[in-house]
Amino acid sequence: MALDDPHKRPSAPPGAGRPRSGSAADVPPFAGDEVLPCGRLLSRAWEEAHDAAPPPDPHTVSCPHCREAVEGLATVNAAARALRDEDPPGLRALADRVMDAVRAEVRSGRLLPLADPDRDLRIVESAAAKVLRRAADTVPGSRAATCRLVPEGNGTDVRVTMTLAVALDRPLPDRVHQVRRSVLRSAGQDLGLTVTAVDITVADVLEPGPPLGPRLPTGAGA
Amino acid sequence: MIEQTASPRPGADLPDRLLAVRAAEGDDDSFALLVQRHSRPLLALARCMLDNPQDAEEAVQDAFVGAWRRLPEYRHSAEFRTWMYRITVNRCLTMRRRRPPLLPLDVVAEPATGDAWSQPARTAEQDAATAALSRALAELDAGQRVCWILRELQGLPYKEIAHVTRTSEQTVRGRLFRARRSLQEAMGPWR
Amino acid sequence: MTATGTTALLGVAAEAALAVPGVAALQPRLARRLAAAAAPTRADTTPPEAGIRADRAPDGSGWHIEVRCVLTESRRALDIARNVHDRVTAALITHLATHGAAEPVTVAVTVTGIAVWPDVA
Repeated sequence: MALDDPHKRPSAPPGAGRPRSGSAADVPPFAGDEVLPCGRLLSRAWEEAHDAAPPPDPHTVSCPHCREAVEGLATVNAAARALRDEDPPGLRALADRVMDAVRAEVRSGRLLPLADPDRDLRIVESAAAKVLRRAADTVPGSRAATCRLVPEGNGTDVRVTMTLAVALDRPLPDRVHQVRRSVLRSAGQDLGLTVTAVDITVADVLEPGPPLGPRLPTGAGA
Repeated sequence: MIEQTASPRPGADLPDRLLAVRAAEGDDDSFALLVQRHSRPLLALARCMLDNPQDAEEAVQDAFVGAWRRLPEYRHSAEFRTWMYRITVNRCLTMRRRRPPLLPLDVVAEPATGDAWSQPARTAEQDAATAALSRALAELDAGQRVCWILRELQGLPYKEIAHVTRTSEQTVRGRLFRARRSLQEAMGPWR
Repeated sequence: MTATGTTALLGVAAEAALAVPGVAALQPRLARRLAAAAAPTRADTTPPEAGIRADRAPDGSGWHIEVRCVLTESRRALDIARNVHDRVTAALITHLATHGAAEPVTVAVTVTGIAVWPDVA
């Protein structure tokens, strides 16, 4: 299942974890690397300061040679911060162009009958799914992932299959029940579809905390 | 816990992987949120990799449109962000091969257009240092440059950089070290 | 161009459909923009309303009209679609009768989108 993604957003900070544990002698140095007077490699001092996950390495914090080596990158860091904070012009226009191109290549999905046996009225699957996902999203602690709709039989019956991401702070059956009710209500009230069943699978866990925000370097040397 | 807050835009609180699943089923609004969320860092990346802003915008646009087309086959083996970075890096590398660099000095965004900068009061000296860094970056070899940008400007961990650039973490670390070394030397006069 | 030719019928159907409350457009605006871009001269190549098709029924007994529309979220999609169906049908029947060309008309309505959110991009 696509949602059972082992590569979930890592909880560790953006650094690479602890770099090589060995001393300078254990690992072949990178080309141009050098051994500091304290015995550490320059590359290791930089990695500890810039890339390692907290807590900070005690040696790096206390060693004057390592500190000096790290400070040698200060100018680069300051300029890098300035570069990072630049807002590239044309960002909004770029997003608009992307979405124009994307909307020209609509993936509509199936055609579904609206609940009128006497007239030829249909709705495309992607439009109906958008509304039903939103109905699922209105249930606190629940967010819809996939939402597929399939016509059943020769009439106007439609079957909905949905996967959800849910928070685990309340019993799952209650939440699934609420979502099903909300989806059925929306299918009737907002769309006008005859939904015979809503098959729901919980496929993911909603993690607490704000899921957004770009991750920026939090290296100890920054 | 996830709260029902009045968010400025429905779906704005959704994690990337849910938006990607929805977008794969044709939900363009979810894709718009992904574009909004990732276009800034991707454009910054492309601008560092390519020699002019127009090429960078083209690369990012192509990358997003390509992602939209490929989303139905995207198996979520990597985070959306990583996947997007990889597509963008590949696109930039292809464009570099197609169009050899002409004016490496043009890497820097035109400075001092007021609100284009998040810190309006930046000094001329800072601008010059940033310009110098951009020039120094432009002179790095492509592999080192990508690693440095992804680490220092985008904050990716080694593992993700290795994934984006299809190489090993050890190689990433070596490139990062050499990039830092070269940049430090190039920025020497600014200390 | 005759008053009962395809082009005229498309115009009548489009006008009737767009007058229905809850109809935002006859198809994503973009598609029309692209169509316009593909035919920059805007001469006879661009149909008056790209969201509508008019065909002769297979047995030649009348017209079959297909309306593809984007709705606003104001009301139930089914009700808006019904309304579009009925008003387009009525407008076409009246138009054909007025021009002495009374023929059966069947109308199909497809909802291609619902503007759930204000323009996100």
